[in-house]
Amino acid sequence: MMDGFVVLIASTEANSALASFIIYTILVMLIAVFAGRLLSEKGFLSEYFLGGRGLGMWAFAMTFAATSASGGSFMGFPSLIYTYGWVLAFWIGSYMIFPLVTMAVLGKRLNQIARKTGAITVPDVISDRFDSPRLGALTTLLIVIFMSAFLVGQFKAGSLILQTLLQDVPVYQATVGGFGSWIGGIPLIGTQPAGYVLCLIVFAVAVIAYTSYGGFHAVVWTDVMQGIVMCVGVVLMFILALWQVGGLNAAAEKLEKMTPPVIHQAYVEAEEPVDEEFTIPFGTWIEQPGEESQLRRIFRVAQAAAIAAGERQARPTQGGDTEGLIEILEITTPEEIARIEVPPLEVLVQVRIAETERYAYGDGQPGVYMRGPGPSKDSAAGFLPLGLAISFFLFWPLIGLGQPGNLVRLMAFNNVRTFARATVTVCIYYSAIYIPLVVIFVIARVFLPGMEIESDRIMPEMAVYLTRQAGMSWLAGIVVAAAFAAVMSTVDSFLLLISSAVVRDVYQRHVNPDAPEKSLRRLTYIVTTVVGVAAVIGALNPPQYLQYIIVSAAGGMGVVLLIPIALGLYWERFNALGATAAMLGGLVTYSALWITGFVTYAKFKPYLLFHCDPIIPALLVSLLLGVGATYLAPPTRQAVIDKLFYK
Amino acid sequence: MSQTESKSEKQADPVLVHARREAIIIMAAFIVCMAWSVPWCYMHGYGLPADEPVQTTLGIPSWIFSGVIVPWILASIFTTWFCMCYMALDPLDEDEPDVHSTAGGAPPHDDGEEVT
Repeated sequence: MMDGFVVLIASTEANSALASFIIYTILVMLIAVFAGRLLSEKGFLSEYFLGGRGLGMWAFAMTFAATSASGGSFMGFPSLIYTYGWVLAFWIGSYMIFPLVTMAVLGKRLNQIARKTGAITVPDVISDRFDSPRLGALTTLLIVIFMSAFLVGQFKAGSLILQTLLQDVPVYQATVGGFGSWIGGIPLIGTQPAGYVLCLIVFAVAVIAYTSYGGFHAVVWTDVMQGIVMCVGVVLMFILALWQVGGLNAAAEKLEKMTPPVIHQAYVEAEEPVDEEFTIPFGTWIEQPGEESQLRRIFRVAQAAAIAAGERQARPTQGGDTEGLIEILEITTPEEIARIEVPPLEVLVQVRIAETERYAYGDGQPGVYMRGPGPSKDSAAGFLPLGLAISFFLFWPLIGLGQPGNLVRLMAFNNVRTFARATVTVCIYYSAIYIPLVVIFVIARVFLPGMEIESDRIMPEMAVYLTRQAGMSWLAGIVVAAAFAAVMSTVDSFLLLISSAVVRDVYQRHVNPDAPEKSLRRLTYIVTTVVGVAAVIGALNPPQYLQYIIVSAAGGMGVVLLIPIALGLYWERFNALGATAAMLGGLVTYSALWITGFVTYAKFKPYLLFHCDPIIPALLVSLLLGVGATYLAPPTRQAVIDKLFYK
Repeated sequence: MSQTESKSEKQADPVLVHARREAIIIMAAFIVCMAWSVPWCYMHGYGLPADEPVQTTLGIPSWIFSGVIVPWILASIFTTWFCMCYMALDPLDEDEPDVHSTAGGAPPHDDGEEVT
């Protein structure tokens, strides 16, 4: 009877998640259909890529906010908060002034110049301001490269969220089983988990379909809906987390006692050979008696493994060590060791440790999650040493200023009154999202220990945990939809940016300036779809460090565009040679520091010159080269300057 | 406008003049935020003795509360004032009427200026 009740509850929860996802997707599609109809009545390219420069206050504010809050904000950021603690509030601290800087420093002037020149895209603005189609083409190329890298990370995030949302749904589980055997023999795809590939495809089909069909209007209106969903999701989680933990003071007491986990390479062995294959899934908890004063030791498997029939020793099921070494995480906080309930395994196994890796900073230090610079696995200086803290304070607003996704939105509002009110709205919106996110995922450390093995999934896991504990499992779908909405609202905007770069800046400007609207329309649909499919192919071999990929690509775009755009808008002497030098100087410095980091640390990680993020030296080089090179060439043609700088 | 006309005879675009001045003020505000937040957090949140619990305010580490939350609230108030009371409502299109006020209805901070 009780079992039946539990199954019923689980099934209700799973079905509500599926229902939420389906309703959400249908709503998005309806918006796209409506937006697509609007396109047929007005000029195609301007409407498709810029919404006819007619965005009102809510549409402009929400599309700006939702596009900036990406998979990084709802997957990578929570993962970092969980892993490093309260110091992340300091890491994200410059969001206190982010909306004002990213919107009001360039917004009014950029919008005016785009109107004066008839520009639809960022390369359009560059090309017209510097009277240089070549520079426009270079901008297009760089945008396509960086945006493509960014898109891959976002597609991965979309798939991970969808997987967590649907993992308990019986229909989904059955589909994954069949799908796995179907794709098993396909090169590239067959080696990936079937659930990941299936969710990636479902996510991609939905987002590519509505973006391709509806264009900018569809993206903006879905952004409004997604922005509301994100805010509601975060507020719900914030209330539930505070309520369930018993207030922030209670959470602080527990955090003050926490110490970072230890990572082992270990052998996992059964006491006797097993009769049939015994699988040890990823995330399995293992308990064994402790040594000396320890009551017991608690481990969590960070690599799926299996013991073959007739053997004792487990081996990793995918790749890994040929001798059978498995990565395992050990909980070290005494209160957590006493609290965690470990479900018994069908086969008794023991962990025999071969190698141990301790945190380079914070190992064995209670309260390290409450203090700066936060714990770190790799760096003895901690997660956020002073140099990096300064870098990140500069990083967010400066990089946000140069993001093409933000710049193109600044070209789309209808008047300055709308713009001013929207900036205030975004400011309130970000305050309501980012500080609560820090609180929620600091509390997640208390509720969900051992998630370091897959911290990218902490957002959906926390959503499911909080709603289940509150007896409102049906809410999980809505809460997880917030993260899903964040990814979708960024992916759709970036898909459109890449396709506009190809259709408008390459095809219409350089290949066929007289192309009829009908062929432009057809080409736009095709290119948007092809770009989406290409990003999906990239995401099939999923990048491990989601946040680093998103941050590096975002940084690259900002470094390339910030100085050329900012000086171009405000300094009439700045010319095409200066802009080219600024672009390439920033790009080369930024890339060199990432490549040096990759070579030095054998990881996807930048080299930190004087503990500074690469964007700081890259922007300095960009500025110096931009200003210096400007004086080596004559100013931009006077007619252009008169049109853009004088009344 | 003739290309031979000297710069002193031309009037700078008022949108350029207003936007440039507003951009400078915003960047100054950004520097103030940084000058508050970074040293405060570093001096009060880093290198704390391991054997003493971290002080909290409303359950938030006090160094985060004073170094991030408080300036965040003040920065939001500044953003609201700047956008609603200071930013000039410049017409962006030539055919858009010049309303000469701010989003909150107050007079703008200044008019256009001659380029010298």
